[in-house]
Amino acid sequence: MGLFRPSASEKHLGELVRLKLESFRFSEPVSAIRLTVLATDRLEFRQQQIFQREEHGRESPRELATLMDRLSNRLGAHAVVRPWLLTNAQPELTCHYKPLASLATRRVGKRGGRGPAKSPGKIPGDRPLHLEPRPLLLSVMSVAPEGPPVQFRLGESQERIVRAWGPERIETGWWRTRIVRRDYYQVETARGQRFWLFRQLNTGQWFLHGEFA
Amino acid sequence: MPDPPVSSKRPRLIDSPPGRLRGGPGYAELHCKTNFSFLEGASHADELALRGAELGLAALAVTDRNTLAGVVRAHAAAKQLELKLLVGAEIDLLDAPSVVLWATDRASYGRLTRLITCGRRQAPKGEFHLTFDELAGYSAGLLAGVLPRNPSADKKQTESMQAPDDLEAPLLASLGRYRELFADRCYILAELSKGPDDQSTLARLVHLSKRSRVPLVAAGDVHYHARSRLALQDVLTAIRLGTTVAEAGETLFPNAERYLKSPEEMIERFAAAPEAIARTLEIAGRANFSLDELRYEYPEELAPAGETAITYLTRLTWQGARKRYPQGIPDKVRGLVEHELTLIAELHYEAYFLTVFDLVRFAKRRKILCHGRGSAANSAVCYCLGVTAVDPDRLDLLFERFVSRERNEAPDIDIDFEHERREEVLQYLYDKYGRERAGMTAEVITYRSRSAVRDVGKALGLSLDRVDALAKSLEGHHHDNSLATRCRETGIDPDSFLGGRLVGLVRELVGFPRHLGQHVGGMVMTQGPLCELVPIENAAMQDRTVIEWDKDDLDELGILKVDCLSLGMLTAIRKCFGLVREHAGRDLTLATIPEGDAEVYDMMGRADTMGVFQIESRAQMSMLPRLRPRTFYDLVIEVALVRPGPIQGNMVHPYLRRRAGEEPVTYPNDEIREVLVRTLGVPLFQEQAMRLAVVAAGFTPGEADQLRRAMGAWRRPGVIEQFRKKLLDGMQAKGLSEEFAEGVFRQISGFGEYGFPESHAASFALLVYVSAWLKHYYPAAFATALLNSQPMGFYAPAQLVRNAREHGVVVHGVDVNASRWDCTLQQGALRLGLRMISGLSEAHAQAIERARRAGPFRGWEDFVRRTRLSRAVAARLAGADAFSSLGLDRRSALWQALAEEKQARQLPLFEQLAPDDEPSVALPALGIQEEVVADYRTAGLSLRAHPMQFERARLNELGIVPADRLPDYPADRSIRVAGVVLVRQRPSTAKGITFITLEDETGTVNLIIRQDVWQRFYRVARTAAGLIAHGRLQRHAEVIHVLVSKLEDLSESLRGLESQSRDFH
Repeated sequence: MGLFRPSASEKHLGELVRLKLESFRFSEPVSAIRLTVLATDRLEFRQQQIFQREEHGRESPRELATLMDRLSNRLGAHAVVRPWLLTNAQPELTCHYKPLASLATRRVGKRGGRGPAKSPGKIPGDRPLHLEPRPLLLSVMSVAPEGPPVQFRLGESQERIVRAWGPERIETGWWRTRIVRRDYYQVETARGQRFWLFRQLNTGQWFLHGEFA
Repeated sequence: MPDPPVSSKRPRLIDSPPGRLRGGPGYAELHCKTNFSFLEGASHADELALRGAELGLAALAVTDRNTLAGVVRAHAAAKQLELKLLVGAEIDLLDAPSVVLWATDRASYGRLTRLITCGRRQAPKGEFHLTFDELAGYSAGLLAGVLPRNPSADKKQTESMQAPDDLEAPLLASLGRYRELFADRCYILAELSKGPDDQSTLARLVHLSKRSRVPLVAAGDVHYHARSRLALQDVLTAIRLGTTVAEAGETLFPNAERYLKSPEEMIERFAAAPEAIARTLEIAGRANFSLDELRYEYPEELAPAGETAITYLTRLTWQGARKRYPQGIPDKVRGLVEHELTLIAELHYEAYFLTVFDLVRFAKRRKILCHGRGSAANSAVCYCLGVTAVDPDRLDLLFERFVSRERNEAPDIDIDFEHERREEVLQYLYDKYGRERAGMTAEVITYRSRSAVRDVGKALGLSLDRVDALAKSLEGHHHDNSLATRCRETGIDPDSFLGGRLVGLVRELVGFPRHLGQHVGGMVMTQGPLCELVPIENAAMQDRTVIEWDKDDLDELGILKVDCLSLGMLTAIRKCFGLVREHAGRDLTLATIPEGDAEVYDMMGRADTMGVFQIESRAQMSMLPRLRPRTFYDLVIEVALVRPGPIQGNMVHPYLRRRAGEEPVTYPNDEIREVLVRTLGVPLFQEQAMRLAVVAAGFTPGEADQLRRAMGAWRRPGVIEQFRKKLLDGMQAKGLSEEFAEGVFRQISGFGEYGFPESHAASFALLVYVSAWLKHYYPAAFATALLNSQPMGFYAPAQLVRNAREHGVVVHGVDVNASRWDCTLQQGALRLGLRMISGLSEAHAQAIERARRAGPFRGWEDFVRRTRLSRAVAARLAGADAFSSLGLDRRSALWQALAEEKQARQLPLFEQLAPDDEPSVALPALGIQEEVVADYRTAGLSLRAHPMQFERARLNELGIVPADRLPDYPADRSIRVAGVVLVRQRPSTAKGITFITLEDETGTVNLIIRQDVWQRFYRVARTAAGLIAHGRLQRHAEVIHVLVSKLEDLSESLRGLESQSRDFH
């Protein structure tokens, strides 16, 4: 059982246990239950205001936490996640999803810090926010053999490139599989869209990796 | 000031590429790190120089981070390739952006070395702390290339962000300070490495240059010579940061663009700013300093006022000659001295000889025994100066064989000092020349396969215990070709993806410098400040400073160094001389030991050499009965023969066969005959191997010297292959067979790494003879001196004492009423000293000796009251049975020591009272076996009995043969022996063979353990204090070995006996 935020509410914890037990089949009668705390963190208390204002559209943090915990424990920890940024030269590996219910994970006995940890990475200013789950193979025309792209086909439409920035070269990951070697270009099409393309240096194939918002 | 030797232009052995085409593009690389930017640069200096020459660079700058440790290697390589080398460094500042500095002339170079010294000396070892204001003090004449990174911001950020102007304000301010300081010698370095948007970056830099009015110059931020080093560079980064490549994230470079690029490629990248390319040539034209300009200047104060160095040296030499030969100087020696002095004057070596003489004179004044060795040490001049004791009249060692006009190498003299007193000599040097002018030579610690496996394995994220197991299985220090096999044995599949990576990366990393250590004794002294010649760093040891260059760097530049080494045998010999003087009234010196004594040679021929310098090792002992030395020169050969060089070159057996007359002595031609005649046609010494390259393959002496260096310190496979071809071609041209040629090459390879020069062997041979002579004529004094000089040599005190008793020396145990700290001679018998008791300090011994001056101790209480030693110390003495002269055996004395605790002995009022009437207790005496075990535990030896003798009955049942019965058994007979392990020796050369010597109550047994047996019984073989060995008897002349097939642990039956073996790996 994991929590999104530390909680000392007997009611809340009891509910979670009950939720968990609903989906649990015992093979034999239960004679005793042992409770072990694996992770602790500081509780957050906020003074109650006498005239509590209804903040429209925004749940109070505690209620949000209650919801998170219920969802996570009902659906499984991996169903309720948050994005986690990593530092990595290979763009598709700069983000992965971490279960939300594992955020309060100070080890027992250790004095915790404040709130959920921040991820080590940051969003680079020169990368699109949205990346294709898998880079799309493109047919691209370029003038010079290793030069920037001038035209590519996306679905049915032919896109003409009016501006290109780059190449930004990425060579990394030789310890995972074969080395990843790509030249990335930011391109602007005649219709004003901006895409992020790369040429795979080993094969010369082009891929679309993302679109700038 | 005499000019020191100028190294002649080195011959070009690597064919340089056609070079830059006339009218072709011009570019000089100004920012390049070698692997002396530890764990950053991923290529050797010569790889960079070679690639730079191939690409046709106009010049290459070597700019390691805060160091000049790699410049000499780069200089040597570039010189050979006729590539212009710029000397510089990348300097990190605490309060300003980093800057690359290039030297323009000798003076500015001196300021650069001073500046680095300053930054190094005020930081802990390995770090560098310098401020902009400190830099300002040394900036004159240096060219500066500022790295345009915001002083505080992290590097990646400024590189990748197209920063708005206001973000550049701090950078602009820093640039302003730099411009003020360096004026027209200031540049901004523009480096494009295929980041997110290089063209915008360049545009921003051009703009920055305009705003700051500092010109922009292109550079490559080079970290390796070729793209293929990407993986290694990533691994180095991970090692540096203590992480794995997978977790290193953005601390890794995102691509392989930090390689050395061609002019064409740089011009293309900087198409938008061609002036930045042109300026690289401008800087290369301005930075005209070459390391060849360094003129080593000898200290001047060596000769007294009014006398030149050479007249002073001449005077000293003749003075010494008259002292050495009181009956008149022999004509031969007179001729030699005259000849040598002429040569010394011609080559301007007089200051060097005076430096050495000064050291020796100091040591003599302090009564520190010392002895010189090395190429110039075996000269008649050095004999007259007292540097060596090898009489040139007795020997046919030509000075010119060691110091030649053509070779241009600095003369080499190493001086060995008594190991306990060398520090006095070093401190004398620091005092005399000051820290400004004297420094210790560096030792470059490089990656060996073992350390490389550890670091690469960790960086790849392999499981730590596997990496550890693999590293441990790579025993020895030498490059192991069987890495793949070892991997398989320890469960890492070398054909798997990561396994393959590991093997490849380890192979690349081996030989990379890891950090700078301190050479064992090489001191450099200069006339001017040393820190204007080379940067000086703090050493790990307190009060020691180390220069950034090692002996090969100094050698390359012709800079003088004197090796002050420490040698345990000299300590023992000096102590033995003292004992002989005191007890036999005979005054001996190294030079006055009677020569050519047949009895002494007989003793050596019997391999009765325990304790004798050099020839006491197992390998030497097994050689002695075959070589049967009869003359001094035989000893010179004996010393050189059992060495990795001759062994790896397969020279030992041919030599032995020829000596025994089993094989004809032949020479391919007369020239070769001349080189090899003294060693029966088999090259045994380093000098011979080099000489062979000259007479057999047509090398110039300079080339032969380079060959030696290529084989040795700067071992680079590519270069070696070139030499091999040249050597083989040369010999073919002279009509020598290919087989002979390959043989010579193999020999030279062996020598390169472990060559032992004749000049060193000759000096060692003298110490061999002297120590053997002392052992033969004064065995008690010799054993006493050896015991008092521990730790040294191959054997533990127990074996030395036993050996002395076998030679008729009477040995008495430690006793509080008779022993001093040192072992002593008492009426011709050896009295063990208190130093033999483990855990006792010299201060305790002094307290006992002091208290004893008032008369012998009469009893336990008397002893305790007068010495005031603590209970723990008294208990140690009791445990060592040191109270037997008081009628107390070990157990009673220990009882007293325990009782002591209860007494209020610190109360002065009670001091005069009679001791307590503690009822005396009758304790059963210890059994003899218990006594022996206790002896071993406290003193490491027993005079009573041998622990094995108590096991004899049981051992007989097991069919175990005592050591003294072995001669009765025929060779090849399968046999069982057992004993306490004396020595384990695992010479790195003996193809994985381990030698173990066992001892029982009747003598010693020599075991030979092959690699596979060692592996099978690894734990037992390595750790057991006693062994039972099964094997086959082997005989060579008088020496008997057992070739082991099985080992068992004897420890159980010898319980309580701690491991006494000394292990040599």
